[in-house]
Amino acid sequence: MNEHVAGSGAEPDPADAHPESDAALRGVIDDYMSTFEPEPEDTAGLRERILRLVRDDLYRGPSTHLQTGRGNPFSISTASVRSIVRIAVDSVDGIRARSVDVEPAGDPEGSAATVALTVAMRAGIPFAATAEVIRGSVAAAVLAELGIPAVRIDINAEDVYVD
Amino acid sequence: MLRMCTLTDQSEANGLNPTGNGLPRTNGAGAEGRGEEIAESVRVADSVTSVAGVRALAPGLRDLVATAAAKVLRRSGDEPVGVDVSRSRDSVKVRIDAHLDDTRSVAEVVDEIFSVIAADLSGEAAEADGRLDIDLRVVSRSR
Repeated sequence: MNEHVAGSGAEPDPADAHPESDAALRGVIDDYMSTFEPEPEDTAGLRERILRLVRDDLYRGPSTHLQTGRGNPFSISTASVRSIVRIAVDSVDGIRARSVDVEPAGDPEGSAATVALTVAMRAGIPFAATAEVIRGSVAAAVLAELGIPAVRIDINAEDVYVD
Repeated sequence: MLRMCTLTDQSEANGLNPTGNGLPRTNGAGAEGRGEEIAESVRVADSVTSVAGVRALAPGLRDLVATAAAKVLRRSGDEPVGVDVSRSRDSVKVRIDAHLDDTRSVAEVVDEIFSVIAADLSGEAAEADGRLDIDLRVVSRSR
């Protein structure tokens, strides 16, 4: 599942956001440290200091776990996935993307995606017909760029604007 | 084995190599195995960066740990490799964080990265009962 950054205004704690990465990181640090035979007084807090520094460098935002049509698994920054969808939405005349959410779907998970959008529409645009154009554009972009089908695309028009 | 140095006695840290993929200079079979992993990491990094659509590699976990250790130990660092290859008895693991451009689809680039890594490490994976685990993360995609 995607990881979402809460909109509280506070910076998320990378350790909370990436517990698996944090465990892997501790493993690498342990591996690194295992090559030494330090005295306890020499290493007091050293692991934690390294961990804290690396957490700051490592935290690159939430990611979405997918796999290509050939079955190769990968993760991609959620911002990059949203950007792909956003460009597809904005390419539709009279439509501007607001929020974009892409979730892994399919079996195995990540072999497809579900998309939920909110959009702003120009006044006078017929919603039902345009929604199908948006769905076509998004489905084509997700398939072309990520190699997976968008099995569900929910669109919510939340605003109308006048040019 | 080397002893860990204190923060204030940098002269004792001369044997450390917190850069070069985060591995200290040591003697013995363990160091030899790590040397092979570093050589494989460098080779795979070269292969992956040659894939069209890969803009750059982000520092790997070992690089980040090494850089952090260098900061803590107040030492300078080398260029990060960008790929972590590690071998165990039953698998070869590769971790890559990559920055892509948008000249190709993400799926195409990912599939080609998997192909070049499999080609690069097919011998090593065969030695490890054929298991090759690739942990690939697309960190960014830009124009």
